[in-house]
Formats: sequence, C-alpha cells, structure tokens
Amino acid sequence: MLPDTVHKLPREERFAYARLLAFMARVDNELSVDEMAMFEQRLGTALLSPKQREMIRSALKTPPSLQSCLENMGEEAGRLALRDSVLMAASDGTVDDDEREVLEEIAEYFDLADDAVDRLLNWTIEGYAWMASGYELLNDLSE
Amino acid sequence: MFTDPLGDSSPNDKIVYASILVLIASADGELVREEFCAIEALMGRILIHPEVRVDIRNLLTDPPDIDELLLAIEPKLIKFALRDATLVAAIDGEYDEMELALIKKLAAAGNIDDNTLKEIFDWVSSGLNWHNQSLAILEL
Repeated sequence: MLPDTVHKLPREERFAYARLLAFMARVDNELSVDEMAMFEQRLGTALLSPKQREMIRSALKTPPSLQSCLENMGEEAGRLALRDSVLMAASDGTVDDDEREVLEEIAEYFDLADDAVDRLLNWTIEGYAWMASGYELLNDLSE
Repeated sequence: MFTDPLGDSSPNDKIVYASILVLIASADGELVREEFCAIEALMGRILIHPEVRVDIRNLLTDPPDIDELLLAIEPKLIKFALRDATLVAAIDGEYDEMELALIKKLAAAGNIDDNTLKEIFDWVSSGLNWHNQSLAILEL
C-alpha cells in the first residue's frame, strides 16, 4: 500500500513474484487470515490481471516448487519478492524454521548479503511498529 | 499483524471505505499508477471480494460524492478512512489541494482536530521513509 516498484516490473515477472508469495504462504502448511490479508495486499500491488490473480489464488491450494518460482524472476523482482516473502512469513507473528530456511535460500539465489534476511526481518518489525502506531493513534481518538 | 478492525467490517462498510479511497485518488483529476496500486493493496488487505473490487474500480471513472459516502459510512470507520485516504493521497509524492480539501472534510466528519490530523500526516511520512529503507537493504 506504499509506493513501490513492483508494478513497474514486466507482467511475467509480476506473475512470478506473486507465485513466490503463494509458495511462501504455504511453507508452514497453514494459511492464517493475517497471511491471507498480506498476500492479497501484495497481490493488489502487483496489478495482475483478474485471470492471473485467479491462477495465483489457485497456486495457494497447490503451491508451486520454489525452484520454478525463482527461475522466472529477474534480479529486481527476486529481491522485492524476498522482501515481501519476509513480510508474508512474519505476518502471523512468528517466522518458523522452515520459513527461515526458504528465505535464506531466496536471498542466496539472488546473491544478497549474508545478513540480508536478518536486516529485512528487523525492517519488518519496524514496519509492524509503524502500523501499530497508526492504529494506536486512531484508538486514542475513541477514548 | 497488518490487519486492523477494518477487516472485520461488514461488506457494505468495506465498499464505502474503499469508495472514499477511490474518491481521494481521483480528486486531482489524474490517477497515477501508484495510487491505483495503493487502492488495490488496501482493498486486498481487508479481503474485499474480487468481484466487488471490480465494481469499486469502476468508480474511478465516475467518482462517488463525498457527502453521500459520509452519510453511508459507519461513524467509527471514518478515522480509518481518513488515515488510509491520507496515505493514498501521499503516494504520488505530494498532497494536491483537492486531496487536502477532502482530507479536511473527512477529519471534520470524524471530529478529528488539527493536531491529530498533523499526527496522521507525520505517521504517513514515517511510513514512506520506512518503506524506502527496504530498497537500500535490497541494494535496489
């Protein structure tokens, strides 16, 4: 919902980006409402066609392999997908070992620094704090 | 974690909320792609049904009337609409006069004073900064 460059990527890369998020959503074999909300949020940012969205939603039911997701993405798409995979993984409040392993694998595939996942996790925590402060600001108005 | 009470609103309230976002995005007479992305993301975030989103997108060419929306919206949701309308308005880098006028109208309808409105603007600004930091981490 914030200004991003995902929508500027070629359509096939946006599709691959969304497939990776679908894969990520199912890594822990659970799909919480929070994960679904984050998934739909990022899907919206990617500006996919209705048909592509339908295909991506079905990928939630039968997730693609990680390798098939990665091989269709360029460097920028892959890096943005890693960032948003971190957001997805953390959206239910915890990043479990399986999710962490996948995140490290994606970071390595796109040749990112060793501490990239840690830095993105810290960035995500800051984002949650930002969101919470916005909610608290509005909550204060009700008191 | 990124969800808030908007997600639990009735389908009709979600439509009115999203219609306000459409109105703010089209306020300056031109809809940039970033604004469209923001609306799509916010509609996705509160899990508006895909078919309903089509109807909301159609409002972009025929924007709704703010007074009618303010009558239709659940009063407790005005502040959420204000927060996210401010976010959408900021997405292209600046607040247009028409956008500011609508934001002030929403604030007045929600009994939100100038100091709180400033806090909302500051909150939006800090969110934009936060988001941009990710690009540095990704070396983009």
